[in-house]
Amino acid sequence: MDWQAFFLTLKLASLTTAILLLIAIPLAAWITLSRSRWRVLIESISGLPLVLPPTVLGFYLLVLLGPRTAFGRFFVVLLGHPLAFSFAGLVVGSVIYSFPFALQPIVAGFSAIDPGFTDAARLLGANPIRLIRTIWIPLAGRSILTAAVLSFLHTLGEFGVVLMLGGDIPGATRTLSIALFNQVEGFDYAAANRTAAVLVLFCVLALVAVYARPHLFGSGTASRESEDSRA
Amino acid sequence: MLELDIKAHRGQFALAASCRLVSPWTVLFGPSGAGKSTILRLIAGLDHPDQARIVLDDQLLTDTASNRHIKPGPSRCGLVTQRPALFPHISVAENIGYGITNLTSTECSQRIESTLALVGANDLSHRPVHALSGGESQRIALARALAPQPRLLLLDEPLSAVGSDARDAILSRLRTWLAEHKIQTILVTHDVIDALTTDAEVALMQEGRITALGPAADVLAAERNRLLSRLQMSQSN
Repeated sequence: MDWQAFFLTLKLASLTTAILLLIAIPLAAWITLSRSRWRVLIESISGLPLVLPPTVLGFYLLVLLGPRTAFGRFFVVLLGHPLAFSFAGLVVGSVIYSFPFALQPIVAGFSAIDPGFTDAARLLGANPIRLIRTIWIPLAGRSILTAAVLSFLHTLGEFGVVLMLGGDIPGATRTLSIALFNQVEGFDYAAANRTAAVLVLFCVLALVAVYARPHLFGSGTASRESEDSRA
Repeated sequence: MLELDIKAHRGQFALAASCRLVSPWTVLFGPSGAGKSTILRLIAGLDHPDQARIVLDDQLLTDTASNRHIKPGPSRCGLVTQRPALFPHISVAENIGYGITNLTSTECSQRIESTLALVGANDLSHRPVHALSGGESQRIALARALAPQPRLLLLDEPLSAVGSDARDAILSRLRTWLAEHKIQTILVTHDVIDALTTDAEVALMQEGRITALGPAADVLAAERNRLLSRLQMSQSN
């Protein structure tokens, strides 16, 4: 078992998930509230990683984050090295690659909240930030948890983007998926089996956590019809 | 005093209402689909009209001509509908306190207690929201709208699930309290008996227009005669 790759993967997935939630929650709220024509374009672009081959995404990110573009050179000046083939570059790539897995469940969760709650909060003087913080996030708790788990697991298992953007540098960019590939390539099937089993175990445990305790989180739809109709 | 001049379209439905409500308590009466709820949402600022000028006590709330629009909130008005929409993840007391600002926690607690007493729901403050009945939920929703003491209160059949005796008692207490706090109120109903038994000003709304405004006996004379003739017919049968 490559423990260095194991901990690097956990670090990458945790950091990616945290960054994704910080970006996806406000963006999902804007998408839900906005009537702007840009909304459709933003949603479409954010969904691109779902349909693009990871190698294509990895290639463009490699070019973008490399020293040949102004964007890449900015990071060379800032960090002293290019983002490509570094852990920081891997985080950037993972955030982009897993973005729709964070955004879409949260948009679905916010959209499913009964508009009556939003109207009531606005009538009581809540501005958009208070509305999102005190009403939407608690009521869409389960959708946000789903987004976090999907982002974490998707990052855990990513291969194409990591390989294209980060290569295979032990301690910096070698994740469990890359380690597994190396083990298979070296015919070390016993080690590959252990690595694969760890990945499977993580996925199963995370999904069980989501499905086993839905009552701990908001349902996402939060409809009050049934309770309101009680006499 | 509330001055309205509103034009709005919702699909095939066109609303064009213009009136000046001077009474502290106005009953907005009309059949289902007349546009009563629509006009309340427009006054509350929840929906945007095609054209509108809404003035409350010399303060311009909405004026599409000058692109002025005060956002929904207690500084504009409170609105209570048939659907209580209580926030399910917080307590009854937190629901009522949600719109209260600029008060210390002690003052806030006192405000919550006094508002609960006003709607006859003192015993509900510690009850989880999901354990409330329909009528109890409506009382709490009313208390939640009253607690910030808005300048204008819009009531869209807010106590439809409350028994008639309890509803009359709450409305009686409410009218006194609203008069003390100088909060102008518009109450929507499609129940002609409710409208006739009030001594308030009545605005009659039909097909998106306010067709009459004045004392209930005058505005609802035709409805009253229709009811009386039906009663006589049923007695003669």
